[in-house]
Amino acid sequence: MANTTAICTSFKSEILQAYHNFGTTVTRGGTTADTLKAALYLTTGSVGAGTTAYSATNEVSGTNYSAGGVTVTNATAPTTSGTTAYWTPSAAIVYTTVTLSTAFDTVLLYNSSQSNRAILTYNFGATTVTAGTLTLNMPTNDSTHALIQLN
Amino acid sequence: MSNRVLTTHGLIELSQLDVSDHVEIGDGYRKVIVQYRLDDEIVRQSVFVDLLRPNGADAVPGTLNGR
Repeated sequence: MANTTAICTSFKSEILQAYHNFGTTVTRGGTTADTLKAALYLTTGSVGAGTTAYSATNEVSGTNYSAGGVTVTNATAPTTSGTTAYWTPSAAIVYTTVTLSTAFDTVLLYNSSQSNRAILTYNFGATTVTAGTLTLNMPTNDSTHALIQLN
Repeated sequence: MSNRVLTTHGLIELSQLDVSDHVEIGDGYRKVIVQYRLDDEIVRQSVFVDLLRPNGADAVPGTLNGR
């Protein structure tokens, strides 16, 4: 076996677990998992790769929806397979008995423990809900289907 | 046995409602929309979205591609 050039697979997983801090200021004070949240955005919004943090601008509003969205269930730590690190919320994201009459199409996952820093956005097409439930079912948590993959 | 559904008009017997569903498939998702109608008015609509595509497949991994 020869030496090779690579980003170490363990590093990819450890990024997701905050083992590494390349910045000049240590910003983490605890060792428990962060609280992640999921907020919904109107079709007129512009969240995406350029989003850096949660904002209430263009967030949906309606009956039984609280600004900032709902907490994401995170019971499964990031892991690796082959050279891919991956992670998926461990349960569906559910907004129960909401009325969201203005069309929305995107969910923002963000870290409410770390100044609401953005993690990912996911567009699922224009949607409205009337006195019902919005359920975002997660993909299988493996190296080819997980919600977040670092290849 | 009473089987009532929460709607915009309160709890209504399921037998009084017309229930339909349809599937919408888009880029990276599959969405099932279930509608309950009372006299053609939508009084309840629930949506179930399956997220199908790994997020960031073109973005985040591009900076961590083993090089």
